[in-house]
Order: sequence, then structure tokens, then C-alpha cells
Amino acid sequence: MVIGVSGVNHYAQTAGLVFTTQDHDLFLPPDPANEQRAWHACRREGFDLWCGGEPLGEPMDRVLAEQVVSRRALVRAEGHGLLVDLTLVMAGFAFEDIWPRRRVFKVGEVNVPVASLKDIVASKAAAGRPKDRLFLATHEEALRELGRRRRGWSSAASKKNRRG
Amino acid sequence: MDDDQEYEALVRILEPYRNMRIETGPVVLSEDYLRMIEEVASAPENQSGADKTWVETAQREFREYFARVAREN
Repeated sequence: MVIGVSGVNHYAQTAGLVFTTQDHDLFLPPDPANEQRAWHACRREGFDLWCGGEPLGEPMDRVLAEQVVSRRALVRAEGHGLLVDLTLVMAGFAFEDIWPRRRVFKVGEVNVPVASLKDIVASKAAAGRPKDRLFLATHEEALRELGRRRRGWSSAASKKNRRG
Repeated sequence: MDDDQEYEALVRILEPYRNMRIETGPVVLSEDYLRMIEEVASAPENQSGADKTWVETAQREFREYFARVAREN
């Protein structure tokens, strides 16, 4: 399930509200078998896998997956100019709490589960790192600006209608 | 300007920021912000099944643009 800034971007209503980000955060359930499937899918698509600043160990077997899941360790997939974080942690939330509230969007031919906007923002607020605080302030201002513009458009349209 | 002078100029520019205290910790979201989030999330274009291919395209174009800028400079 997509979370983080990339997740927020899926709710953008105009290109001007899409935030630039190099990494994509995928929140995975704490399930070793699923973790293994995610690793193999990344490898098949040509991504290198990293964990704790080192290449993910070999073989990518069940034992390794169980260790990663029990430590809630982050595995990063890198390739094609992208960084994809396979995370087992989302500040303030457990996977099973937010999964039912997800949206499933279409991207090309793929159905992409994305955490609810409210959950992503609430998680950033709970984490409260400087980069989260900066994002929240920018996002709030961007939504406010969008609201102002829409009110402007709607007022201009009603004036035009009254004239016409 | 040689490398040492550039470095010293950069240190001078950054000096005020070195002493800045950056706040961390949980943030309380305003009622207004939560209301705007609710509005965005309930928009018809943000319901399950909506086509978001354009978002991926925009994100890819941004990445490519910034990679090009970084290479050119």
C-alpha cells in the first residue's frame, strides 16, 4: 500500500499539487511470505535491494524474511532512478488498522492500493520530523490556495452568468 | 573566486542556520486543515477506481527534469 508523499500525490487534484519526491514508500504487512514476494518482484523488475545500508543478504529466503519482519527493518529497492522503501512501519498506525480505509486507484493497467489521505497526513503529524513538519505546512497551504482559487473561479463564473 | 574562498563564503552564508533549532515531535492538525483533507478525500476523482496514471506521469517528469538540471549544473 502506497503511503508517504507519493501516496498524498495520488489525491492531488491538479499537477500543481503534486509534490516532487524521489522515493516511494510502500507499507507492507508484517508477513514474511509477502515480504519475500515483494523482494522477488523488485528483483525481477531490475531493482537492487538494500537493508541497513548494505545489499540485502542472499539467499532471499524465508529465514531472512522472518528476520527482517521481526526487526521491522526497512528494505530499499533502488533502480530506474527510483527509490522504493518497503517499510513495515508507519508512525501511529498498524497495517491492519489502515488497510480497510485504503483507496484503490488505477495506474495504467495496475490497481494501486493507497492509504487514505487522512491516515497518511495523521502519520506524518505523529512522526513530526522536520521534513514531516515542512511537508504538512506546505500541503496545508497548497490546499488553502486551491480553495481560494476555486472560490475565485466560481465567483467569476457567477458574475459572467449574471452578465450573460 | 577559488575553491577555498567559495567554501568560506558558503560557511558564512550558512552560519545563521547552524544555530537554528528545528522543532520535532507530534504536530496537532488544525480543524481547518482536517476539513480541507476531508473535502479532497471525498472528491469524486479521489474514489477507488479513479485513473491516476497522470500522477505517475507527472512524478516521473519531475524526476527526469530534476535529474537533468542536476547533471547540467
